[in-house]
Amino acid sequence: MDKKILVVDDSATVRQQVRTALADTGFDVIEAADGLEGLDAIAACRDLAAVICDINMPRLNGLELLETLNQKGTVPALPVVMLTTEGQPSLIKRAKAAGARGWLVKPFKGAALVATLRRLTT
Amino acid sequence: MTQRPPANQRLLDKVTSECCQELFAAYGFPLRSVGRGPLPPTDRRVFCSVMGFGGRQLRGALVLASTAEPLQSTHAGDAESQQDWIRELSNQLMGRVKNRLVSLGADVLLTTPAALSEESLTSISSQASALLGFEGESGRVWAWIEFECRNGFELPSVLPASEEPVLSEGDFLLF
Repeated sequence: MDKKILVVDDSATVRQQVRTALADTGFDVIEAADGLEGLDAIAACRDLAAVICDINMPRLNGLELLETLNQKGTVPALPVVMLTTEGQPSLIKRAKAAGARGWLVKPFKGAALVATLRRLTT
Repeated sequence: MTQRPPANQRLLDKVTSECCQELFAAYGFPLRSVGRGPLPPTDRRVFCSVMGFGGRQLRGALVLASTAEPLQSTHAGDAESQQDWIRELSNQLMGRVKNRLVSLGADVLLTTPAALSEESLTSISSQASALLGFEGESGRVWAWIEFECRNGFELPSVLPASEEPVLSEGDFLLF
């Protein structure tokens, strides 16, 4: 049975790129277009294996989403990987402190994404 | 915050040009610079996205525009998805520019991008000659970065030794 991955990104194109990268790799993708939708999806889907999350999004950004999940106690049981254009050390530290398990800088390599998810969801 | 030091403009233009070429090359569509010029009047559809940025030392906006061919070559899709794609490309371009600025000691926060597309889209700004133009195997791309600096702020031209390294595109970390 495929593991469920939530991808949270305001770009439909990026969500499709993640879906394509994970096709036939043992992962089933569900999508959210911003941090608030991401919170709703996590509350609604109790068997998520991991979350891939952008940072710069409207309504609720990725770091705010992560910190909300951390306050709720959802991480570290649910691995969250940031997929973002950001590479700034202070943001990486903030994400790590809030319980993120990984950080990928766009554009991502499909093989790296798959390997990261397999490592985090075993 | 009203200054636009020429040295900062030259550096930002250089960074923007390099990052734009690196970005499209990363998606298998190399660009060559064709110098500066306005967005020419055309009956072809042009896709355009704008991202703002701001920080303690400088603030401004980056514009990325493209005809359909570079977008189609880097991510196939219909016009609606191409509009989403140029929005994401401007996000990734500004991300690259930001990472370079952070490496130089600037403090930069990003907004979310906004995109539009239209046939006969053209530039009307008095600074239209500031657009950086690029050509690919087919189609055209333009980039433009406009900013203002806090009085006296100058970007260093070399990386300060004490700054922490910024991750590069494609890098990944596991914690």
